Amino acid sequence: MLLIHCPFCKNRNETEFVYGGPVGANRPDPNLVSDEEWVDYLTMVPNPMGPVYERWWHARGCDKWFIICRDTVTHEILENPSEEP
Amino acid sequence: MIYDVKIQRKFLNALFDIKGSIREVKSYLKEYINSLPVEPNSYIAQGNWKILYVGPNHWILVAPIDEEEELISSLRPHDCPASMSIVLISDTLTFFYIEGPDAFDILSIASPLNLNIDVFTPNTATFSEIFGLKALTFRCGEGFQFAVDQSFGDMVSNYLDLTLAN
Amino acid sequence: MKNLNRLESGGRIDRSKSLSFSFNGKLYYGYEGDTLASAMLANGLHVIARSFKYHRPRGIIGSGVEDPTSLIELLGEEASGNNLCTNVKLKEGLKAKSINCWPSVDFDVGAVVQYFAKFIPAGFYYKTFKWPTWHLFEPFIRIAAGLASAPKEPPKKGHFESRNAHTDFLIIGAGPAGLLATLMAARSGAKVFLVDQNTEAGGSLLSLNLNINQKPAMAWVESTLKEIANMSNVTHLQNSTAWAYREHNLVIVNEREVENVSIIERSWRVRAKNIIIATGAIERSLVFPNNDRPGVMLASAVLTFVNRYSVKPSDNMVLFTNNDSVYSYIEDLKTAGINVLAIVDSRKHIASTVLANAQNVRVILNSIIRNVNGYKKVNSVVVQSLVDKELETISCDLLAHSGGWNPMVHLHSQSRGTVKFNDRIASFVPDQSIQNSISIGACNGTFTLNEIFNETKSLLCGVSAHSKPLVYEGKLECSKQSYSIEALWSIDLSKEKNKAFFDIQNDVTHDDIQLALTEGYSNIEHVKRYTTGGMGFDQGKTGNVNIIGMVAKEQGIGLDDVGTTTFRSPFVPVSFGSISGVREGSVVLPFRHTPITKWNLENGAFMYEAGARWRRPGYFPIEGESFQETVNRECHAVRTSVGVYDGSPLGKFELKGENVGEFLDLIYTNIISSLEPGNGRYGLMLTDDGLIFDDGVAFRIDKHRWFISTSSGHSDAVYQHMLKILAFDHPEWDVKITNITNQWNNATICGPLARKLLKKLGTDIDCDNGSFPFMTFREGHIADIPARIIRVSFTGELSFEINVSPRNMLALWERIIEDGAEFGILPVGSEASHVLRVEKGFLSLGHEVDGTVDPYDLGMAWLMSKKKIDYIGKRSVHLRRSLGRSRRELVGLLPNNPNDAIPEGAPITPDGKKVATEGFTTACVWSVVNERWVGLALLENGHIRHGEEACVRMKDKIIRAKITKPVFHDSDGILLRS
Repeated sequence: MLLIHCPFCKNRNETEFVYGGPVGANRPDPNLVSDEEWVDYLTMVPNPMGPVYERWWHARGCDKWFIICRDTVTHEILENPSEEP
Repeated sequence: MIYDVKIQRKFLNALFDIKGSIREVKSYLKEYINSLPVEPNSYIAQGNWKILYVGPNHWILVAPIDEEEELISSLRPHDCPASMSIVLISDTLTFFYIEGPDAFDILSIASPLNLNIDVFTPNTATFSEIFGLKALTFRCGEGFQFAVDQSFGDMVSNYLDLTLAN
Repeated sequence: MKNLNRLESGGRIDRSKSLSFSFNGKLYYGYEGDTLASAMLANGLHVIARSFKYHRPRGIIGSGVEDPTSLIELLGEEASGNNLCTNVKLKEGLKAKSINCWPSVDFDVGAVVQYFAKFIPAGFYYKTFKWPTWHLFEPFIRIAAGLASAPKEPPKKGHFESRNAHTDFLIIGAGPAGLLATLMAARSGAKVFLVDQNTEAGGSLLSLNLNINQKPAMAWVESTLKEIANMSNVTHLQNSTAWAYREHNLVIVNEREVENVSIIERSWRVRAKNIIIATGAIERSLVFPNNDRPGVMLASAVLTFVNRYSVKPSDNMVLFTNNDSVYSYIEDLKTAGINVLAIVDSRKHIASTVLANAQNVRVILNSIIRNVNGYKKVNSVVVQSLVDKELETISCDLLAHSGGWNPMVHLHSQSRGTVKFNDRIASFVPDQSIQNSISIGACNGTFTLNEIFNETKSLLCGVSAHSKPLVYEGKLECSKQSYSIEALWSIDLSKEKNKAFFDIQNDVTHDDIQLALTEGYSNIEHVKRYTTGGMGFDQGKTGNVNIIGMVAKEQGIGLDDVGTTTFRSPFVPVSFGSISGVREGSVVLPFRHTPITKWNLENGAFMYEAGARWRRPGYFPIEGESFQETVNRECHAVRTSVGVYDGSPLGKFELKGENVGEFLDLIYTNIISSLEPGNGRYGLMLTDDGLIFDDGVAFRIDKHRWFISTSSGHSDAVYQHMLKILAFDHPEWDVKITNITNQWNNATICGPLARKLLKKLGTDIDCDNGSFPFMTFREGHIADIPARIIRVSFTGELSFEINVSPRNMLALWERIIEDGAEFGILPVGSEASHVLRVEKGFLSLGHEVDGTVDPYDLGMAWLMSKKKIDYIGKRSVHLRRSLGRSRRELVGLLPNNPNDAIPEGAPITPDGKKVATEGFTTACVWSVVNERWVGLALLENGHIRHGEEACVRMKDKIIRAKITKPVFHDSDGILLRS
């Protein structure tokens, strides 16, 4: 039951959020990459045993999408999203 | 009833969803809103209105339902600048008011929030969960108010009945 | 009502409150303050249960949650299975029975199993999975497996509750360490939660006669409790077990005796800034032959029954130990009138200060227990000298043993903290903490009271939440104690024929562990699973460390090298009820209603659960009608006159901003940005891997304001998808999205007479086709209700989607039904809608869309913009199509026999032969307008096979059908544009 730090709402219970997958490469221009590169973008996502950047959506909260860095073994949240300006 | 609370279901408030930059929203609404809240998840009461800051550049105005017509003409949702969004959402939320000595207990059953007064202050208003459903939650008088999607209203009533059952 | 084995006075029971209870049908008596176990012992009961595998008679071994054997089933109003009688509070009228035995615990037919022990060694169950086949053994194992039965009825009164709490300090355990920590934390003004699983606070002080500051220790406990009871910042829960330690300092506590009798149990999810673990230590057993016989008990449990519950469980006792703790019990045992015949100590030397506690007691050093005699009750023990192997039999009625003390590191380990083996106490202690928690007291390997208090003070001084830092000024001087131990994982069991149990719960013996090691399963996790040692409900509390010790010894390595198995929650069994809380009955699954639900029910609707938890009408049956007749009737109304359905659950969003047009062009396959205000377009959404995600309609309200609708099932997913793209791929775009799914409800009237009905309802909108064409919207009033009418059609008929505020929806609906009566209007359910859309070949997510087809396959090439250089899904769709594999394409099926119905999902094979399929039927409905069955299917190369015959292969026949275009009514789409 993670305690996740939303940049707007601060610490909230995991149940308020929806997991959005690890942060992989940015979406490339589909017209400029080869088939292999496009498939890689869609299917090869980071899956380390350790820290990973990942996206979360505050679905039952402020609706904000943000990125944290979480250790997949210890669940420690190593990096919190920065505060909203 | 095993808890000492009074529960009122208030079906309809006039609600306006407002999105835009702080500067622009302040300027557009300056004739109607004296003070725009900018502290995350806080609200400012103005007469019998409440202006809630519930997300980045996202406010909700809560007013009595009989002021809806007038507010539509004042705020002009259909006419505001392209970089702002004002949408009437009165029917989307149904409100519950929980008051009484055990209101805190009921909320701690329904909500995962830290409800201690130093964290959830009399000025806090935020979206969170009530019985697992997205809900707007804030203190009200001696108790709490929360609002859920209108279509889930009956389910929340059922939940409250089960919680209070003998 | 004098109990057989009750002492005259003393203990913490209330002799003024006598309670009656029954066990296996017989009536007994105990007192308020008893557990079921202490009352059973007081009544002289010694065979309580039969062991899991061998059905050996078992009695009470421990006094708390560590007891591995005394499971009973509670009957009557408080029925529940698998309760530890050492943990059940005695109540008036309690009814309990033994489990895992038949016909009775005293005479159990199952015991015959013992004679086949040779054939069911460890690893037996595991091996049945390999050969010959699990299914052979499954029926028998299922009957033998399991313990108590589950109650058949829900509790007659009361309900479960689950709640959340946030606190500065959570202190787990109200023994001396936990109580001192609570004083320190509470006095600093911080918010404190103190939880303890016992019936009253005090921990080990409840059983040991120790002094604090020259007064009985319990007096200190009482004054501490009095002080914190008056502090509003302290929540103190007894009978409450912290059973799970999860991420970020969330601990789950199960409160089993709630003050409010309407609540059966209450689960607390506590998020704490600081967690102080003061869970104490459990005594572990010694391993020797027949160490499971009724009358063989843990020494500390014996002391607890004597001191705390005022029970005299024995007349003539022998003790067996490898450590100092039992010596301090002797005085209390003697005071209770127990004849202590001997202390058998495996060690060669003992400190004289320790021996001084056992004056006038025979101490047999350097010796072990070689055997225990007595099947249903101990009657003698055999002592063996480790020097000359000489044997001596001593008659006795109880053997109390102690193998040492294991700090309860369970919660610390669940928090992902590490443990290490400590030679001084010969057990595992906490090493590193990963989360914000501290272990104090016996659970940290500190066993004497003075040391416990000093350690607590030093570890906690200076810690603070947000208030003052913790301090303790005051002296706490306690009785002197000492502790030392020489590890003895088991006595020498080579060539031993009798069973010596390492895990009494699961009947795991020395032979079983040997077998595991011999077969190569030396990793401790493998040993656990191969032998099932540590897998019972007690999770090896008294036995695991001995197993680890034996594995270490056999392999000649240290216990740290063997390591422990993973500690998992729950720490003790927890009822399902407390985990789910009030989530039962109508709220087990979420449900949503529109304002029409009540009307639907009053008009006989059969309700279904549709996507996203909506309750929608499936059909509206009339008395005497079959299901098919009802659906036909509704379809007929829509196709020949007019029908109405509630389309409110559709997802709806308002989009506002400078870049909405570009954004919609990105997420839809077709061009949306070219729409003029007032106009709309059907749109298809794909995911970036090219699969169909959702479909809906997009309308432009004015230059920067748009309105889109989604399927009701996917509205949340589409919202998530849209926000994600804007957050990460296009943060520079000005697009603001507001969810208005419930700001608008709609009643959709559809059919040839829809316009007539609209005019009859009365409207200020010019609804002639020329002024209000298909795929546009108008705002105005219908029946004096402010409305936005959208011309879309999901049925293929002339259709007006009348959108109003939910507050006006019922009024609108009732007017429509009233005014539509003259046209023969009928409410239309989802079954009829399904038929109507199949007749038109319209897309239905979940039918034709199964995750493998793309829009081209479905004949929707017209939606796939060629102009747009990019939209989500475009690249992937083309990539798949470029692979040159044959595609399954949407076709219509007309069964050669018009009365042949093809079941949905039925496979299509070449010539109906038993070979790989070439497609399957996605839908088949009775078409009222065609008076025959019509179907849709996904078929390989379907688009070029119109006119050919397809064969649907059923179990007992082949249904032949003609392949056609996937549309059976108004193929040019004239009606909906009329």
